[in-house]
Amino acid sequence: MKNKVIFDSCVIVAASVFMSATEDVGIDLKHHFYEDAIQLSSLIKKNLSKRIGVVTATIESEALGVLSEVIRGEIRRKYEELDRETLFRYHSIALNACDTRMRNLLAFLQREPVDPYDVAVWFTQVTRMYEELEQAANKLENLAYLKTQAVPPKIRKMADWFEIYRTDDIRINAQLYNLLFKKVETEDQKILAEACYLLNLYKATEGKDVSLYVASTDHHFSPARKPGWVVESRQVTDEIKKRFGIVCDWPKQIYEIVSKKL
Amino acid sequence: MKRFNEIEVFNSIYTKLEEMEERQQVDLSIMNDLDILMRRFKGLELFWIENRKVKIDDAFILYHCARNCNNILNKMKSRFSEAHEKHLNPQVVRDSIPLISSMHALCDLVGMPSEEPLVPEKITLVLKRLKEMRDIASNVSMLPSYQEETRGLNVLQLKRQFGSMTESLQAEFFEE
Repeated sequence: MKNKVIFDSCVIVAASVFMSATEDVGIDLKHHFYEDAIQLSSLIKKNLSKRIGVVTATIESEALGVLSEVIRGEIRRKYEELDRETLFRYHSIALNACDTRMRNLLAFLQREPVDPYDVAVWFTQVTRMYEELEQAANKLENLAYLKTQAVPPKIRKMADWFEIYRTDDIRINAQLYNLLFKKVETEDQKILAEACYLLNLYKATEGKDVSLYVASTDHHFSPARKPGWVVESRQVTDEIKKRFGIVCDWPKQIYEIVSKKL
Repeated sequence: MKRFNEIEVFNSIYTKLEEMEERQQVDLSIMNDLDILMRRFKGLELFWIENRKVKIDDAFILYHCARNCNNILNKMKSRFSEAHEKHLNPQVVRDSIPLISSMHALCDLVGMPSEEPLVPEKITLVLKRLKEMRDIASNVSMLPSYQEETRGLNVLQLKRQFGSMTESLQAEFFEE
């Protein structure tokens, strides 16, 4: 069984920033957003001969855009706190440091060329899937009201049942609702189309026994889950698996799955 | 800013590099051209720091490009000056040709002081060309290291700015 992991841009950026912060600047980053990204990239580095880590030009380009956009946001936010020379100089150094680390990280990933015509065919299927999921999100019924009505009258006054059921509904359908609040960008749909193309290419060239994973923190790929939630919302993730055979999840979960298979 | 004939300076550099490659020998008169370019990029850095008419984040991107060009040219100058002593001759010439060409392409986009807002497509193109230039510089060992970039700077201030950036990134992308 061969395993391939596509690194989404947010994971590449997180790992690069982590390496730069800890190894260049000397900051101890504790948040698991960074730790998970670095754990997965370390697994890829340790198993370099198995060529697990994969990236495409679209993802590389998006990662660069993400990083510069974060820094631009910092500049906009801090322009009154610091004089411009200091502000510009320090952020330019930070951007360069992360860029250098990103280059080092990308060196461990296989940059796969893709056929734009084949990707375009997959892209139409990806677009259709997200359209259908968005329609499903729009059609979600107000189950909380119906469930509240079904609570036996004896205990109805003991709690705010509508609020409890409404919270549950929001959690269960979080991934679908997210499609309504935050449109899936064309670049992200293109990344999924490239993943579909690559999976089929691997199956044709390396044998049918190939699993493809996408490590991402975006809810239009990976399940929505939060500490304290009993349920996780994974309608989009499951649909991607069903239609295209690709497993999308957070870096930590991908690490757990892949490390057991190596 | 003073009028600057960018084509003339780049042409002079290209000509000297070609001649050096043909003769297989470094000609240090190129240092003068590199100095002119460096002064130009330093001027652009100051221009974008002081320019209050364009959006601050646009000004930053253009400053960042000019600063990178300046730093890389500084590194290139060191390589040329030590070429004879360290037997880098004519490797330094071969290394410099693609780098200068890439810098010229970036300069075409960011070399003119302007007060026009940057459209997103231009930002993307600028960042791509900057990345290309930094990739080439890295491949030919002309990219200043983090230690070189931060020499003499306030480390605490840098840590504070970097720490704040990591928090923003985490907040933006950590949706779990």
